[in-house]
Amino acid sequence: MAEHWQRQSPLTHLGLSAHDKNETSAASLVMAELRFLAKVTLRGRIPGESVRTALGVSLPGEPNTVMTGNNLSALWLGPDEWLIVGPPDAERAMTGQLAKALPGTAVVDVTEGRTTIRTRGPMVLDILAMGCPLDLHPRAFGPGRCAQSTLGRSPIILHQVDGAPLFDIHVERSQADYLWTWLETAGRPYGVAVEAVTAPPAWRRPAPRRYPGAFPPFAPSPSRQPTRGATVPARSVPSS
Amino acid sequence: MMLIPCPWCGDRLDAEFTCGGEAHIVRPDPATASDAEWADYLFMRKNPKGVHHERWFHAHGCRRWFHITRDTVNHRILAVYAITDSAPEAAG
Ligand SMILES: [Zn+2]
Repeated sequence: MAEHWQRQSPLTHLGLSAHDKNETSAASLVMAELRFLAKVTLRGRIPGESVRTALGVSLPGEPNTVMTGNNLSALWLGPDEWLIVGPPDAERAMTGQLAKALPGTAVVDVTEGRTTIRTRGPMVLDILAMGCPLDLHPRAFGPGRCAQSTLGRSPIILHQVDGAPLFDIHVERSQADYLWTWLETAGRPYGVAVEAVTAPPAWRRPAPRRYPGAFPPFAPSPSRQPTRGATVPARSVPSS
Repeated sequence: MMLIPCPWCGDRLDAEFTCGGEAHIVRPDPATASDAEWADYLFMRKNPKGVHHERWFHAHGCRRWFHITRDTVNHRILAVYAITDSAPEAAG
């Protein structure tokens, strides 16, 4: 088993870090790569509560919405399918927690399958509309919503993070270079800048569950203690 | 361009979907079906001018199958129903 490997983003060859000092205030589209975000898919009939206990984030029940918690985002992908996105290097602990909490459920680490392009800027809605058939107008979409669709014919998972608006585009590894170039080309007439993204805050395993305050650990009260030598009354048989 | 109403995701562009063709085709028992019945099951489709029950798959979205009833003349979608349901009576 390979314990060490050279992990490489599918956008490494673009040398994005060389551009991320650019002035972003004048740009109409600001792009960044969020590298190596942890991604775990869940499939099955899953009680949302069990995931909240295991990871600290609930599963959204409403289609195409996102729940956030404990520095994780849980994206609805289908009526029995979710994608949980977390900070880099959390995937192993996340899958461990989930496998323990959800025996018999498909828990799959898909971290290496996609990378994430973060887009924002005053023209971001117009530029996404050039190649994405989703209605991203605030009356139809908004913060905390996600959707699977296509952008420039490339399959994507889109997540609107805030109302700025800021979108995270989870794109398949093999399409990442194409989609990055597509976005850059679409935005070039209006001004594109590349920015650096600070590493997202780490994920911590939730503390083991304690009994809620209403149910203190069981201790028999003195009045309920059976008296030594007491006889148990015979149960009456109900007449039918 | 056509909007297909996915029961989970709402109206989405038809390019996100794959059409699975005519719905509610019953597979005959291969032990008793004649060659003609089997050929009819495998190859023959209705292709009506008018109301048509179809299976659709939201390939680039939630990846679920469902049924729609569509008028092939004007592309009006008359009904959307679960992949496990039979054709609605009213829509023909
Ligand atoms: Zn759908």
